[in-house]
Amino acid sequence: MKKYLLVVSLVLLVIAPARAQKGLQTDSLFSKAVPISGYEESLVKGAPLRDYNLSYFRSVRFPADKVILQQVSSWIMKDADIATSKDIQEEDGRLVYALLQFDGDKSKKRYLGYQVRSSGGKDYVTVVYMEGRASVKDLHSFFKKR
Amino acid sequence: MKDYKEYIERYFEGMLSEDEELELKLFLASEEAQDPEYDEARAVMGFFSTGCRVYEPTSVRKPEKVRRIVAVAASLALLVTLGVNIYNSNNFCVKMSGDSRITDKEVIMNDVDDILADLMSQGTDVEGQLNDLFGR
Repeated sequence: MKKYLLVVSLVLLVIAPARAQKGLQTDSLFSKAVPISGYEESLVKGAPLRDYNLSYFRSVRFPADKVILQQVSSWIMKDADIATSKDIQEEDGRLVYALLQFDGDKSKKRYLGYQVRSSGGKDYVTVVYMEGRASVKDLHSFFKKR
Repeated sequence: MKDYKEYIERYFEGMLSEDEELELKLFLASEEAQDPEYDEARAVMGFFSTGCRVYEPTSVRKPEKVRRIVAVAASLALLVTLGVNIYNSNNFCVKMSGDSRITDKEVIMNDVDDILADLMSQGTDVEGQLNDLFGR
């Protein structure tokens, strides 16, 4: 009986939920509810992120027209309403940058990043969801040293 | 008293059933069979009983031990496999670009590094700016 319970517990641990960013408006982006061509997605967990003091990193990047930009920006602003800290930048009335932090325990801070870059006359949006021990200050310091 | 001489004769002819043989053994071990006429039968049955115990096929004794070893080995193998699966599920990187799936860690982490560097470069580093201003 004990062996059976041990096996079941271990199996349940293996089936870990991959939707760490669930609960945010931008979850729709990560779950591909919005069909976007040229969509790139990265998912990194655990050891590869050790240098950054992070444990989870998920990013999506895609070319965006005005409609998509507007939709994604509205999701970001709704998520900003529940963020515990935010760094938001606008240019010409449109959202071009956001770094949001959400409530979490010390061992797992949660962040949502948003960035719009223009290249060749097109706008490219990057949205990042991260978890880990690193603070924003830590991340700034890490990249400043390099 | 039952006449066990007939049992003894049939024992030497190999005609006794298991129950009858057991009954005869019990009789020969009792006080009632202390007469010397039963000595021969007692000696032969005693010899065969001892011989059976000494030459008991070792395969009869082993299964319990072998089963335990196999069970422990199987449990260990299962735990190791689950451990590896848990480690792999908690430590991985993958990138999807169109229909391509990339698992090259170096390629992906270079991309992650670029994304984070760009994200942090645009952000407001309040402490950094204060340090620059006041020269700490």
